[in-house]
Amino acid sequence: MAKLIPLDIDVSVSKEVESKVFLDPDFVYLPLPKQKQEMKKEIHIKKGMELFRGMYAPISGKLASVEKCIVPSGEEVPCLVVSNDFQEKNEKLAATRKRISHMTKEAFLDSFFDEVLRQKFLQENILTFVISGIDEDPYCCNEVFIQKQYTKILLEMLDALLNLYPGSKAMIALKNTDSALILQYNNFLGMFRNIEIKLMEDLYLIGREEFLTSKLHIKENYVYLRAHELYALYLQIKKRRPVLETFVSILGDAIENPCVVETKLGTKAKELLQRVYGSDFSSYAIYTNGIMQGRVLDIERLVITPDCLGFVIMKKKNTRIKSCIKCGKCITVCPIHSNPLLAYKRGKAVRCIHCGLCSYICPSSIPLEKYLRGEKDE
Amino acid sequence: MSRLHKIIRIPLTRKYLLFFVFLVLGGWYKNAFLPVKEGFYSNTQLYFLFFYPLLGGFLGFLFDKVCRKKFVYSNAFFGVLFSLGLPISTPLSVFVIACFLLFILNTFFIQKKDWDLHVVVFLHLLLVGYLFFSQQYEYSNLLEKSGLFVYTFLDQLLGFQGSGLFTSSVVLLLVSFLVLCFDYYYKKEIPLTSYGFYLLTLVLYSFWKMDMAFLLTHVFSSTVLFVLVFLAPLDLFSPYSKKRKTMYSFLLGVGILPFSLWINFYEGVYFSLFLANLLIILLNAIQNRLFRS
Repeated sequence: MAKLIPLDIDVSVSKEVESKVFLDPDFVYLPLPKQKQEMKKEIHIKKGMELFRGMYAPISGKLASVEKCIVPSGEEVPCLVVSNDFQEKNEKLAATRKRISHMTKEAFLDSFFDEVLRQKFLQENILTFVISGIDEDPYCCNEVFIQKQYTKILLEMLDALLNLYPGSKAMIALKNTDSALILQYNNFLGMFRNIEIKLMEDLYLIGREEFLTSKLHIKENYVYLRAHELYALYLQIKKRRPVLETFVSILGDAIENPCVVETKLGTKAKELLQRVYGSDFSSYAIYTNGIMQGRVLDIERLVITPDCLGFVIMKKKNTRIKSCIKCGKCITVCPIHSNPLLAYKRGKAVRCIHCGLCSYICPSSIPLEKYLRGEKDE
Repeated sequence: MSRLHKIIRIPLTRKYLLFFVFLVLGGWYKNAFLPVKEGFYSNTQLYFLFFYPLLGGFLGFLFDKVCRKKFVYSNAFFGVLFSLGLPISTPLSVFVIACFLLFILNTFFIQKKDWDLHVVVFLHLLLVGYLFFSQQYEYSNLLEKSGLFVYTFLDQLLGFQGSGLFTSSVVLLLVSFLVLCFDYYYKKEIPLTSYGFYLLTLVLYSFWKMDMAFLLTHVFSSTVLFVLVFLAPLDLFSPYSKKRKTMYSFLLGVGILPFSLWINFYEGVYFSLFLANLLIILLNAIQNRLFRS
């Protein structure tokens, strides 16, 4: 197994987050699938309506136009702009609700709205459900927040899955430093057989599938889910509706009261920040998707998609990039044993999981992840 | 960029410089205080000795300012490092010229063109070569040369012995190494492995010659320790992959004793390091050529 390391955390960045809700954006921007780059013909849409395969309208309103926006991965994609009528008219649900315990496996697999999530359950013999309740980035707390808010719901959903797959067991992996969450789980766990808590060391990336399963010595016949995916499963299977909202954490040393905001998918990041904090923090460095794996993007055009974890808003600091001293620490810390120096010095394509550890450890402050993404020197 | 949140600890070079202060004081005690006390030098030696590290650092600092370069391993750092292992007979003018050569090589070739040549060792050998051929080569101070002085128990305890200008204190070198081992960026495996190989060759040679006094005399050689602790693991010149580090340490450690016996015990370790460095450069070049083709 790769040797993972703990991270130095700036203690001035509080992780005591408050819960906020912002569900009424003026517009939402929905990234168009690659094959369908033109506007859909229906002008009036309802909340929950399937616009394209796997893409659901998070609000009701009118289709306004197509606009180029940026998604958290940094790509520029054309997006459908939906103007909100603030009426929240719902699309009729596809099927009547049925108790999950009465479902067959086939019916269960048919009830997914999300194809990616459904794919995870297609394997024949599932023996273990591995739930990662660990946030990857030190300044993102979505997973922990969801678990704190919906502990019982998540455990019930997991129990339902265990009933659906007899003979299986579930493991919830938590960081051993999340004492409040461990206590909260312990209050409910007595009611659920076959669900156990696994306490993991506070190491960066320990929540990732490959590292977590390796640490738990699980090799096959398992389903790996993050806490937010389990919650999405609850919405899709138990509530019979697609996921239209997401949780976005906003932290950083420029923020006095950090929060996790529940917001509609497709909301523009600028509108979210302005409505939640009354400022778009234009004079600060805003890292999308955490400080380790994220990057600074144009917040004006950034759209919140399901892969948006949050924003880390930091005071700008002058970090002078120096020349490489060949200490080789970037190679030592790389969890997949790649050589980032090949990308930096020779521009070679190197296998990378974009964890950001090489840039984090570099004593010369070289943004190695930039070179690993294939971006050219400025 | 993404290191914004990282708590920056004391950089390795600053720690090095901190230990250099103690080494300079130790060297000053041996090469200035004791001989002046015994009347072998005039009082000016007390201040003159400080000129070398101060001048090396200052010239390096000026060079950095003029060239507007800011490296992790600055010229000021190399200026001080270079001055520590010099023979006591080094004239100040020769030292200044060598320093400028060092800075030019470091700034325009080593750091700019990404060369791996150990510039400090190269310049040291160049300077020593010059001193040798101009018949100025000398490591012992007048007190040591006179043969009238025997180091006290305290001196022995502090590990003083014949060595470079400021590299004579074994205890300080060992303490420096122990403290540096806790630094994440310090390549501690290089001094450890190479010292292991050096010790092995030393033990084998002593048993072969049936001379245990030789073993005890050279087991804690301050010159060897200084080179292994401070010069060999310098990031810029040492390899970073595990295999190369082992190879480099092996070559360095195994080479110390043969070179010391062949040349002398002051320069053997420098030669060994220089050759290990050259071999690694050669190996890298061969690998690069094969990789490209």
